[in-house]
Amino acid sequence: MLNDIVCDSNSLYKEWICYFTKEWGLLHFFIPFFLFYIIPYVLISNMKLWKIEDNDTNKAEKEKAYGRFTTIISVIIALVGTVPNFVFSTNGKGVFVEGFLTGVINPVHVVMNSLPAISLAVIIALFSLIVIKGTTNFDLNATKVKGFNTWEIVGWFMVAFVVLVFLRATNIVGNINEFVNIFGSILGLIVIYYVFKYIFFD
Amino acid sequence: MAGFENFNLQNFIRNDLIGDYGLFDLFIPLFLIYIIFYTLLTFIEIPKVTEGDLSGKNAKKFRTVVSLCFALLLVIPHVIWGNNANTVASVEFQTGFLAGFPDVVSVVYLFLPQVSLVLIMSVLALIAIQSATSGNNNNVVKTIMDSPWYAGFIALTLTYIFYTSVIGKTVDSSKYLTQEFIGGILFLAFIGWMFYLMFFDGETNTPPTATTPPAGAPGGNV
Repeated sequence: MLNDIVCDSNSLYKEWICYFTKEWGLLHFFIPFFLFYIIPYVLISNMKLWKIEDNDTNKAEKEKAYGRFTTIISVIIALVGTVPNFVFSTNGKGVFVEGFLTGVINPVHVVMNSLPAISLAVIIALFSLIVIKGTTNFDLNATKVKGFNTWEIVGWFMVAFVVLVFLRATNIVGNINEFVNIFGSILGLIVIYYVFKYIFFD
Repeated sequence: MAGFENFNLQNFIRNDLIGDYGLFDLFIPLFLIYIIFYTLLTFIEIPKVTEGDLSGKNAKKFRTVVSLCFALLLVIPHVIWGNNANTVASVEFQTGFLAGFPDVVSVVYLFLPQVSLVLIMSVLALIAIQSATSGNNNNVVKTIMDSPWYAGFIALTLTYIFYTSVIGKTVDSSKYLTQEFIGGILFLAFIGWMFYLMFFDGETNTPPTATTPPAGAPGGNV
């Protein structure tokens, strides 16, 4: 995976980024590791698997134990999720072809391949909101022209979009181009219909 | 002032800031994506801050790390495999493990100037309209801004901008927006307006209804 990185740039920053990515696995190991660590860490912290009462005599000790448990479980999840991506090779569909996870889909591959589309959707939605709200009333709290971030249909559209992106990123359903085109077109038409309905008739 | 004789701001920005330190390829996109994700995570409350043990500390840590990871995961491929900001030929990665996927930084750089142009042009147009119609008792600008047609027009403009940015090329508008087409639309709009004036505008000219005079006025309640 790291073999296709060619570091022959004259720019200082490109050289450094290239060096840390190729030699130290910044992109393929460290960043996914932090991501895969912090998500379970916060989730397990918030879950409170065991209740600790305020009047408990061993409260401090129990809190310490739960903190340690959270850290170690999160580190293990992060290591299992990211080290194989760095060490073992995958096929074109992002499925491991060697190591103890042979045949299993590479989670880092899914995250990295779906992130561009999802973040693009987020950024475009945000800038659309800024421009539409900004140009129509200059008052971000005004309700005269409804902000589309309050429409439920946009939420459902985003859900469908994310499902689509994950399907494409995993590649587990084979060639989904046809499916993406048809499904995307139908969704696009539905969204256009609702946008006009809300803008003009609601 | 030794050392500043040969200083040139243009060269400094071009060669050092952009060329060596990656101002436009690395730092600006990194801050932009980081701050967008951090703010969104804060406002949609992921993770939810609970009383007591968390008290917002873990939530802040989570938002910072996740936003930074997302930003780095998007910017580093742009630095290594993306097209140079000066010579954007395609918004898709041509090589690397993300080949075929969109380069988010290139797409953002394509639509950001156009989006700001829409905002600025909108303000300028509204200023011009307001100054030209200042003799009118009605607030024309407010009427326009409250109009759903105006919102629809802005939404269509944005759709065009985002669409062309994501596919990485502009649509040849000369094929569709011909003189005949624009002339036809204007002519139809003019006919429609005439019909509106002839048949429907009279409904608004209703005679004033009798109203109760205000208190204290002759004939009003004292």
